Amino acid sequence: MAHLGQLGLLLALALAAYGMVAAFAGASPRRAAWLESARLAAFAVLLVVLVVNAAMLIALLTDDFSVRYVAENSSTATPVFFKTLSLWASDDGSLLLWNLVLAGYGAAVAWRFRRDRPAGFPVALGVMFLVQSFYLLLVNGPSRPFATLATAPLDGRGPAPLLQNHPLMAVHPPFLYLGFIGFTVPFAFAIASLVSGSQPDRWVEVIRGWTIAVWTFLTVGLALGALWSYSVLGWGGYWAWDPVENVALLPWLVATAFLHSVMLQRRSGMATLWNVGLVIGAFALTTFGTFLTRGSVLTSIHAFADSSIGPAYLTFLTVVLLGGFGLVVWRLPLLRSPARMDSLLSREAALVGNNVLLLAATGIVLLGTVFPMVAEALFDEQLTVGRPYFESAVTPVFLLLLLLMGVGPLLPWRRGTPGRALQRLRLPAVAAALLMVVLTLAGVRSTGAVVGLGLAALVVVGTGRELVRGVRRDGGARRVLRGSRRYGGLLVHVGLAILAAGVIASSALGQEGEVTLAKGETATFAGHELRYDGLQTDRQPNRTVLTVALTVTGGGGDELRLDPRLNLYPAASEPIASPAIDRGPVWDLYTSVISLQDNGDSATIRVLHTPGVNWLWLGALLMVLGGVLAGWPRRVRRRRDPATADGHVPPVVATGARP
Amino acid sequence: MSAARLAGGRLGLVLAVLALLTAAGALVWGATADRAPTDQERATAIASGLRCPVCTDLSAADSSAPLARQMRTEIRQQVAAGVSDEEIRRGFVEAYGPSVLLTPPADGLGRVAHLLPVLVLAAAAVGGAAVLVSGRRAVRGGGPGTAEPDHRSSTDRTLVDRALADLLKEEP
Repeated sequence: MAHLGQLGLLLALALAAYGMVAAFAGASPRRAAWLESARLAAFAVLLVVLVVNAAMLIALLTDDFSVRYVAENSSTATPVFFKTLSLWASDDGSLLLWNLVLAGYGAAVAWRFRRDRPAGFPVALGVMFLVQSFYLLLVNGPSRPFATLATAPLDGRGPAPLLQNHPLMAVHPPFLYLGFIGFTVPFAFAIASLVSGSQPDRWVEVIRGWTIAVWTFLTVGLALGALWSYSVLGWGGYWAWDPVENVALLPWLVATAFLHSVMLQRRSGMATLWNVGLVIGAFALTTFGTFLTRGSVLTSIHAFADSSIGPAYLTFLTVVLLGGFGLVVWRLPLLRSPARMDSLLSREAALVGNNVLLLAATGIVLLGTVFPMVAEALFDEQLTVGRPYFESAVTPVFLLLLLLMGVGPLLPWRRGTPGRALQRLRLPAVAAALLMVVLTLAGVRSTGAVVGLGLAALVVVGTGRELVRGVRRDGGARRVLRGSRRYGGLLVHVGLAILAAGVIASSALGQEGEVTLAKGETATFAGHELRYDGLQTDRQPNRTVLTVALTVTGGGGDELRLDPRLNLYPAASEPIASPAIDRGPVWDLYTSVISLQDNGDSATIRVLHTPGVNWLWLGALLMVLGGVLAGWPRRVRRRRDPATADGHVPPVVATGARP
Repeated sequence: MSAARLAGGRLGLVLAVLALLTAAGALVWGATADRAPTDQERATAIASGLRCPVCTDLSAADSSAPLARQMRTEIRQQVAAGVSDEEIRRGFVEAYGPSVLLTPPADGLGRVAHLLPVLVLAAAAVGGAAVLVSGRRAVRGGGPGTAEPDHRSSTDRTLVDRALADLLKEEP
């Protein structure tokens, strides 16, 4: 298997390099055959990388410990499910998956544009191959996933305990990869539009479509990561402002900014330069994030230690930044599009505000994440920039964004009048005000939480009403699908507001505590009575599970059994806690074992009573649905009437409005 | 618009303004109402601001590592003994160095970290304002954007008109 894998990786690299050359050569219309062969190379790369991944999978499943990766990340006692997941549990293996996803995107681009090809398509394909070649080069040199051991050990070390503790590990990384790596496609098309110098407006539709898909994947990936953190890690939170979480959030923020400012370009021909910059920026940030995660700069649950490929990433990042923004500067005259603001009370102005705030959030998170590394590298000072810092620095920006989300979508394009805007805002504003009064009377003392929840209500009511009104007016699912962009966008807003309400409620209105209970003893926490009934020990092949049986009596007298656990893995010095959660529409009761004393005669439990956590998952789900709706391909309609089919100004207006 | 509807609109507006004023009043009242944090709340707040030195990304309040537990116990004891928040934090900085603080100290290099968000926000605000102002200027005349309509062909104009008509339909 090791030889097959190694050979496959070499072959894939050769194919990708060939594809790159053939695609760039095929840019000349006289060499159409070259382009055709480059397209075939994209499928060939996918096939070979698939075989390589399969080879690693077989090595893992057959306990082939002569492969170092298998010996380090699997063991005979590891269940088959987690053996499979070991494919991406560590740096070398996850680079194989990375290459697979990237090759998948390459093949998808080659397939999607098999017939109608926008001018400059060869360059885009070439850039895809260029990026693929870089990542294939990594697994052929600096990282060697198929390196073998001279003497195969009898058993492997097994995967990191935290990574074999929950099935969510099966879905979080692949979705995050689909999101992260997907930014290569918009980037490739942005570069192609710059190189070919064709009217960038023609690219806007293509780039927008792929960005929405990628944004949706990344949203799923981030939400699953938060869900994993909450359900597995036992600290009761879902977002730690860990540097690696931050770098995953950065491209999401920039992509969100792009999906908004692209409307300026499609509607009024504005912001062309800006949009190309955002696409390149988003891709550069994913590369930067990869460098931080894999380049041995960071240590965290996400970081893969002992990687000697930091310099390679840094070089690639420099190429991306210099190449991308160099091209932008070169094409400056072509891209410069005059900004026109008919009114400050217009959708256009709101979109500018959206970009200002999203980029401010990006800047704050980026600088905060990098600051400790710079401080240590340049000034030899060890400082930490953590959760309280980010929360206080970013919260005002996010609150302003919520306010803008409440107002912006209700403003008309081009020109609004204060009276009209006020009229549309009246109901949502009253709803928000009422909620704020009720919350204050109910005893909520955090001003930030009251304002934030009020703003979330402003968005949900205002946007929700637009959504309901629009769907009712259009009637019929097919016609709704036709206006899917607008409805998709509004649905994302409603979802995000619900998510924001969940974040605000859970971080400001929850209670947390620690109780130590002897067997049979009862303690009271946040209106609940907790009784420790005893400890069960269960020896499994790969671990020992200690289950703490708790009986919880709620305010209404109903009894409930919660079983938080401690898992002991032979490879881990400390036990890994598995929380037990009673999830409810408003309140979650979260229990996690901190320690056991006297052979389990007494247990110390961390208890949290947190509101709104399920709103988070609901909000994320709505956002994803909205993303799917907004990105829904609309080929049927285009044939009927290209100009006015859905009430959106088609890009042709943007081109027409330009000299 | 009929007189009755106009009156209704006005009444609605008055109600809306009243509701907003009540909300603002409630907020001020809520924010200024007397509330001394309990010892437990104080201890949790202090622990949330300290890094658990043996963990990678969790605070001393969130981690279940033995050292974090120890820190929590120590904080609780000191709070109960009447030591001030600032003094408790200083004690941990002396023991583990300034990197134990999850928000960098407000002096020396740490001050830069505190200035960064302000600078970013200021730059963003200036950039956004510049776009809006130049956009307004382009519309009012003299800007490069004003010459545009002359370049539109008649087909373009028809398309624009149709699209605009559709827009108005879409957003009543």
